[in-house]
Amino acid sequence: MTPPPVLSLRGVERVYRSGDTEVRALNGVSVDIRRGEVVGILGPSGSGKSTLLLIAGLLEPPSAGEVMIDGRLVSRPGAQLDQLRRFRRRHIGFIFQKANLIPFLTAVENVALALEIDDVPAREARRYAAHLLAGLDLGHRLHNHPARLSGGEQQRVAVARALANEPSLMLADEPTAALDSVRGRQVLALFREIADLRQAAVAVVTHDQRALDLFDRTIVLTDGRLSEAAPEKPVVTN
Amino acid sequence: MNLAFKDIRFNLLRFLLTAVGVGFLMMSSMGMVGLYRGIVADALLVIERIGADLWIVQGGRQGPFSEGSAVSSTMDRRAEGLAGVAGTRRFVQFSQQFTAHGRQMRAAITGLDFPKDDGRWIPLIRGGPIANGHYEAVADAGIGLDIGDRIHLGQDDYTIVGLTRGMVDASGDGLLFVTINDAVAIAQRRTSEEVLLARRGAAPASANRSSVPQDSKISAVLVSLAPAADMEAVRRNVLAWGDANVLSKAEQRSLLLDQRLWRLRLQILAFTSVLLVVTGIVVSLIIYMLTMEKLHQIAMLKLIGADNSVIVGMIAQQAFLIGAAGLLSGLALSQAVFPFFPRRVLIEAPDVAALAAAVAVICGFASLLGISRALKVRAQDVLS
Repeated sequence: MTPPPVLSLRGVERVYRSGDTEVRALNGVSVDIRRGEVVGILGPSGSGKSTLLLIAGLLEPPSAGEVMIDGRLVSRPGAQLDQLRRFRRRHIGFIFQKANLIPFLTAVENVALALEIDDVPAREARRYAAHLLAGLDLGHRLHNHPARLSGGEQQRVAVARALANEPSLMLADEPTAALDSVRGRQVLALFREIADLRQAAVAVVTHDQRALDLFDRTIVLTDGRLSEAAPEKPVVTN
Repeated sequence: MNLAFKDIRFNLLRFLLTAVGVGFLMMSSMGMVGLYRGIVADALLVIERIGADLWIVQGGRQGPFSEGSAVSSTMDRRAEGLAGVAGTRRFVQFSQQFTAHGRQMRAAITGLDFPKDDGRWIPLIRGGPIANGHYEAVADAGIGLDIGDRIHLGQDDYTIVGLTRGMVDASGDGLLFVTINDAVAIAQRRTSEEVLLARRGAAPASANRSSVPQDSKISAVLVSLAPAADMEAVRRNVLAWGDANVLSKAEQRSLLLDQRLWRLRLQILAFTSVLLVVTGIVVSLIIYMLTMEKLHQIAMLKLIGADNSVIVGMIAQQAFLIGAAGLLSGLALSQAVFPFFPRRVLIEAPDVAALAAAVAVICGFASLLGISRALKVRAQDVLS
């Protein structure tokens, strides 16, 4: 049986206006991403990949269309996204090209912060953060500040932070761009593992053609339109 | 997790340097207020400590702390005869420059009406009070003299028998207490030129007078009232003499603060206000710059779903911690530095409390600046 989509974009458009100029970044995009699925979002620069991620991540409202997450309509034109912070922190995990760790917090604190923000008691948050980091082979780096971690380690801490609240949707924007090919592939393999073990839906914006085999399918954006979508592989839920 | 503390601990040196910088500003503000308090305290010192209920001064004048005053050298006996008067003392004070230990020194010679007043009200740090009617002195340590030192004043040598600390006149000159007869003798010293001019009859003063126009060197008579005395009745009686004016302790205080020191007080208070404004601007800029530095992290906090209260708390706590640390380091610096200043800088608890309140307002304002900027940051700015 096909699981229901975690992320569902329906006819999403995004138009930016500057004076008389109008830029249509997304033009009627409809996408579903299901539990346990890792989807690659490809396309040239300016094709609307990052805009798609901002709208899916509830960071910008669409100009037209709807965004549903876990079966709930959460965003449409004019939506007050600032009021969706709680929803965002519980349902969506973000990973970016740069790890964007808080420099004055240690690795374990960076991860625990995401939990404490969600009202998890400090001690419990730290314990779970340490567990997550240990699971990503960072058990020996718990108390290091970001400046003392390598790029790959920082990105893994960012992954742990994104996972902390056990989101059903993970959105990654060029997560391997700052890493060498080996580290980059390790991170993408981590997403594969997250999708398989945690049954999260993972959308990865990437230019990295070497990692295509790790995706269940890819969608290609050109000039804000979905120009190509590889057929969905059957996803088996645990 | 307290983000403000974590940030401070991570950037401890920067925080400490910032706090010390703010501390120096606080020290300057405290110093200005302290200088003002010190000048007021110094000016009022003799009035407060000498223990007189009324001051009888030259008629039509406002007393020795406002203008020249000379009363008859026997006016104390007249006053003693008034009903309600428990005791009287003659008072004289004038500035004198002299040489000791090979250098020029300056003191406010203050006469004690010995033996009625042997100066036991003067707080001594070493030595003892004046025990003989002549040629002994109690000096303030600020003059630069020590016990046993001999100094030449007028025509005579005086031995320092006791030392005080912080006993100065309104100009900040250390007090040098001698008996009133010695003080009059010192005041009547004339230069050879004066004597010569007096003999020739060319000088305005006669041969048996100094250049000071009054006959007497006594500036005022201090009156202590009996416990049940009617102060107003005593005042009326003195005014009835016609050649004397009478001032209460409160009037003397008011004369000093509201007339003689008024411009100085206003100037210091105005300068203190300017310093507080400068402190406010500097602290506000520091907090604002600290916030600007963290905009990317604030965007990240918003992205992971942090409520505004987390961001507001971080900025406000840092602002108040910088303010508190600045105030404390300012206090510590004041305690370390001000004792070496030539004039008394009096740091009083209510002034520190008022400064703390001003700092709180400044930090609150600075926080608002930082917070208003932080709240404009969008979560998606983390991508920029």
